[in-house]
Order: sequence, then structure tokens, then C-alpha cells
Amino acid sequence: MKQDIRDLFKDDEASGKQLPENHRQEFYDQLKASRPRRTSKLNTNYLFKVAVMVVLFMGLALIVFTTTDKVIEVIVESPIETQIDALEQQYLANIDEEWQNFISVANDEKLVNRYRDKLDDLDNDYQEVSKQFKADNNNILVIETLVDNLKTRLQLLKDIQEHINLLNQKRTL
Amino acid sequence: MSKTHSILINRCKKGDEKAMMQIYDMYCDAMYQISCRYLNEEDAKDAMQESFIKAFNKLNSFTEDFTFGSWLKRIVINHCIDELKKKRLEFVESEITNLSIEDNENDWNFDAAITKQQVFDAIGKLPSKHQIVVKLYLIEGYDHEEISNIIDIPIKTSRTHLRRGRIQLQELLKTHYNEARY
Amino acid sequence: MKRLTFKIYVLMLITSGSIFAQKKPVYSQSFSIDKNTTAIFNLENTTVSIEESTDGKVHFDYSLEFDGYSKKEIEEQLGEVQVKATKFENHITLVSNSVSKISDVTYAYDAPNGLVLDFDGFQTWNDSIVRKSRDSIIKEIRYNAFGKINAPFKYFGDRFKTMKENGKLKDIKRSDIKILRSKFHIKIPPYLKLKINGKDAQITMRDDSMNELSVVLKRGYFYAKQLINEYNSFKIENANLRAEGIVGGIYNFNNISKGLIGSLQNVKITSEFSKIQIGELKENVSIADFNSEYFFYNWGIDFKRFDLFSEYSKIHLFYPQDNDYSMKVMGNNTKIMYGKDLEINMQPTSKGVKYNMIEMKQKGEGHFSGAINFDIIHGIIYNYNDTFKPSKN
Repeated sequence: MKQDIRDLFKDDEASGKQLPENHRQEFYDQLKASRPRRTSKLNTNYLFKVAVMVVLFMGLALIVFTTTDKVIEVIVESPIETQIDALEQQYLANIDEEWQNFISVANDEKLVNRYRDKLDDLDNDYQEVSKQFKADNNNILVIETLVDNLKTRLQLLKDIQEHINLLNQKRTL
Repeated sequence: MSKTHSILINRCKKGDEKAMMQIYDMYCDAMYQISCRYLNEEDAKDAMQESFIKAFNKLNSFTEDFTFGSWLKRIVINHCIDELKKKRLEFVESEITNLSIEDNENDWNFDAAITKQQVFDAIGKLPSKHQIVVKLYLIEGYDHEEISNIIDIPIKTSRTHLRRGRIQLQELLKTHYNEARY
Repeated sequence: MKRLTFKIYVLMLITSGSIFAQKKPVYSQSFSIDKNTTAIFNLENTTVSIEESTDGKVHFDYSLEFDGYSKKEIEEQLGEVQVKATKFENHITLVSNSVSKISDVTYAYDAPNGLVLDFDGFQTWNDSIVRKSRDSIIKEIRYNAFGKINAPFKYFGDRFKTMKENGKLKDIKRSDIKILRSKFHIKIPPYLKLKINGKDAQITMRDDSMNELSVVLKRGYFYAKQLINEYNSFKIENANLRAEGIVGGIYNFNNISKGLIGSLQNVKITSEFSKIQIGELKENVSIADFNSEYFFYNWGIDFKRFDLFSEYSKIHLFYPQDNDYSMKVMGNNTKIMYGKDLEINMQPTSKGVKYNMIEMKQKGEGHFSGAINFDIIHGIIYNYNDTFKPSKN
């Protein structure tokens, strides 16, 4: 008698392979490590314009705080920290999105790990400079360093994706 | 897809980690079985977990044209094949000989006494080029177009590998069956 | 994008030669030294310029120039700066720190009604890439290092306006701008062994230096003329580096945003995530790189040998002009582009093993200047010589 062996495989029965005990925790850790904080689409030009406005507000705040003998209409609507926070959130969202794009096209573990390390390193830098900022929030230089850090991270991710795409294009001589 | 499942997926899209862990719990065993067909157990576990991460990142491209399970399965298989490629498996035949297409392509009729496990074992003995295509066709149920997308080979090559694999299976199982009788 | 940071920085560099500027000394100290003296400068949030001392002494001279500041503001600013230098057992230690970050020039503007950006030209231009001579790189370094922008006030005034009571824009008056200039000058004799630990530090070496230097810098910048010493060791991270010439030493570059080096000789470089333009590659340079973008513009007449080991790098390669040379490219998964249309694709091999991609033997005519060796994985090489025809092995 004959059987069509394709029928044997029609239903996906478990073949008895057991996952190791800590697999769930292991997965959870991996999941955590890869999660984005937020995602949103953003126009980078807009970000830079926001950065400039922040700088200008900062400039104004400096004046407001240092010239005590003038009557000044405070035009600053929110303190500088809040504006920097907002800028930071927007940039970080963009960076996270680019990170997700990057890890989905990158096949090289080593590359991904090195990028992860570098971005962590830049994040640590950022935290250090943020502390400076708290102590010295009228300083355009510190703000510039913060914005530069965010821009660099974003640009690094964009550049490597472009690089990978270029390498993957299959046109040959 | 059931309503609760839809809600779960939507929550995953929004980044809800609890929902993601629930999806993991639902599908991890099945996906692990699938990975084990292509990789050894340790690699299969890693591949399965990495596939979930990839899937969660690509959720925006998941529409309800497929079931979530089959969409996830495709991701897992693609990932496993990538891992195999890293181990330098070669899929492309350097010479495609003109096989006469006289034999019946759909002749998957084997002796009824042959068990699923025996088929599995026989598949494991095939050369890797053919083994992958046979697995994707026979076990996963993909057609040649899908297979050609997954392994990135021409459809014609996929047919050739499958045909050769099938013929070799017939040889292996015939011998086995014959041996079993004695 | 570059324009924006440049713009913010320009606010820092406005110069106005007001005769009413008040110069306040911050710190002054000198030490006699001998050939065995060593020194460490720990610089944080500080800008310094280092020059050669001809009288056998190390001099520290720090003053701040205030232009348009009130007495109280000046006192406050001075109070925030901490500088101290000590000498003990033939070793000098300088510590310089500041609560608020001090740059070359800092500006402040009295804007009762706010400053407004009134400029739409945030152009990001893409310079077409052409061969730059070593001299033009040096020129570029000097132009930027000493920050002289032609007509800075006009540049600023074109872009910023202030608001009147009624909300309308009006031009900014030059006399309303407050300026703070930092002048921290250090003079060191050429035989001083110097270690610099910099963090958010802006360091400029205004004279060629033969000192044995060990520099670790995180954030900020390091500008130099010639750095000549085979024992030099530099580690520059998340900062910028510009040097007119580097001879000898080991250099480690991590995330240098726009590195400009006039020429390199007898140097070992390890780099990552950086963008570096090199005017001229001279004798015996080797670079081990990960994911940087390099521009190799010119080659010395006797560069002898150049080695590049890289992964995921972008290389802009201009070939030696006038002299004979040989070139060998080995690697894996690398694209070599010739102009826009022609491309050689060195596919990844199934085993990931490196293989000989290109080999150009020397022509045998004219003077042989050296051998270029690339060992390059996942890289992209841009060739800028239309007459080049590869002969693959």
C-alpha cells in the first residue's frame, strides 16, 4: 500500500524538543536590551531649528538672570531645562528608530555589538555633559556639546545603514 | 485571528513588553521545533529568540493577510537559513543539468508502512543542498516560489534540488524498508 | 547640519576690538626645569594655548578679558575658575578647572526682547570630492584653528535680529554685545616630557613640537602644528583633531568628527568611527580602522610602504601622481567604485576568507615611491582616477 508522505507532515506535531529551563528569562533580557523608548517620525531639519531656538532662549535666560537692574519682560515661556528635555526626547526617539532599522538590516553580530558599545559610550558621555548642564545651564557651549552628541549618534546610525545598503547592492562588472 | 490575539498584537506594536512576553509564551515551543529542524539545539534556541526580536521590530509590516503564526514562522526560517549560510552551506548548483521532466514531479507515494520518524531520519541523510529544500517543501509546506525567496536561489534550482532529494529519499527508504524485512 | 553648529560656534567667535575691555589676571606661575623634568596638565572645561619657551622655564599665564561686563559679573566669573600649578621632585602638575565652560571667546547679548533667528539658509552643501593638496589642508587647519572669520559681525548680524517692543525685528547693535576672551597661555621648553589629560578641553599648540607628548583627550579639540616625536602617544575620543604634520608615535582616534592632518610619517594609527582627511602620506604609515571615513589625498615621493587594515570603512583614494607605485588590495566583501558608473564588487566568499582582489605591480618606469597595501573587509573604496584600469589576479 502506498501513502503520500506529504500528508505525514500536514500537521505540525511537536517533535519533543524541550527548551532549556531559563529560556524565558534569557529572552526577556534580550527583549529588554533591544527595546526602543519611543518612536516617532521626525524631520531632522526641524530638530536643528528647535536646537537653535533653544539656544536663543538660553541666551535670553542668561540676560534675564544677569542684568538685575533692568525691568525685563520675561518672554521665556518655559525654563531651559524643559526645552532641552524636549529636544532630547525627540532626538532619542529618532535615534531609537534608526537603531531598529539598523539591526534589522545588519547581519554581522560583531558590527552590531560594536555599534551598541559605541552608542552606549556616547550615551555615557551625554550623561556626563548633562550633569555639567545642570550646574551651568546658561552655557551655549554645553548645550552645543549635548546637541552634537545627539546628532553624532543619529548620523552614525544613518551612515552605517547607507554603508550596508551600498555593500548589498548586487551590481557587478 | 481571534479578537484577543489581535489586541495582543496591537499592544506589541505599541511596545508593550508584557504583551510581547505573552506572544513569546504562545509560540516559543512551536518555533523552537522548527528551528531544531535546521540547527542544533543551542543554535536553534538562539535563532528562535533572535527571530522573535526581529519579528517584534517588524510588527508594523505585519498585516492580517497571514496568520501571525505563519508570518512568525517565515521569519524564524529565514533566520535559520541565514545562520546556515554563515556556516558556508552552498545552495546554488554550479551546473544545472537538463533533467528530463518525464518522471512525475508529484510522485510522493511511498510505502504506507514507513513512519514519519523514518522519513525524518532519511531526510537527515540527504546532502545539505537537497535537505534544506526537501525540508522547506515537505515539512514546512512551502512551494517553490516561497522556497526560492527564502534561500535566494532560482525557482528552477529549487525544483531540481527537490526532485533529486525526492529520488534519493525513495532510494534510502526503499533500502530501509527492504532491510527491515530481513 | 554642519552649518548649524558652525553658527552656534560663530556666536562664540565674534571679535570686537573694544578698547574698554578689562583684562583680569587669573593665574600666573613659572617654573625652571631641566632635561629630566616631567609635567602633567589636567585640564577640564578649559581652553589653553601652548607655545615654545626659549628661556628654560615653564610659564603659565591665565587671564580673562571682559568686555561689557559689570564688576559683579566679573567677580563671579573669576570665582568659578580654579587653576593651580605645583612642582614637586622635578615633576610639575597643573590642574585647571572651571564650573562654567570657557572657550576662546564667549559672548553674551543684552536682548531685553529676545533674539530671533532670521535666516532661512540652512544649506547643507555636499562638496564634490576632489584631490586636496597638503598645503590646502594645512590652510584649512590654520583657518579653523585660529577662528578668524572674515566679517564675523556681519555674519552674525545677517542672521540674528532682536525684537522691538511691538514685535518687529531690528538689527543688533554691535555695542550691545558682551564679550569674554580666555587667554590661557602656557610656554614649555622643547625637552619637557608632557602628559595632558583633557576633558572638554580646547588645546592649541601654536608652535611645532618635538616634546614627548602623551595626550588623552575626551571632548573638545586638539589643534597642532607639527608633532614630532617617535614616543608620542595620543588618545583622542569624541573630540576633534587637526595637525599640520605628525611624525612618529602611536595615535588612537575614536569618533573624531572632522580630522585634518597635513601629513603623516612613521605613525601607527588605530581608529574607529572617525572622519579623517590626510594631505600627504609619507614613509611607513599603518592604519588599523573600524568604520571610519578616510581621505588619502597625496603620497610622499618615497613613502615606501603604507598598510591599511580595515573593516566597514569608507576610503577615498587618490593615487600617487608623478611616481611609480604598487598596490595590493586583499579582503572580502568590498566594493570598489570608479566614478559613478563603474564598480567592482568583491563579493563575500562563502567561507569569509580574504582573497586577493586587486594587484597592481609597479610599472617599472620612473621613480618608485612605495607599496600600498589594503586589507579590507566590508569596505567601500572610492577611486578618484579615471585612467585607472585594474588588472585582477
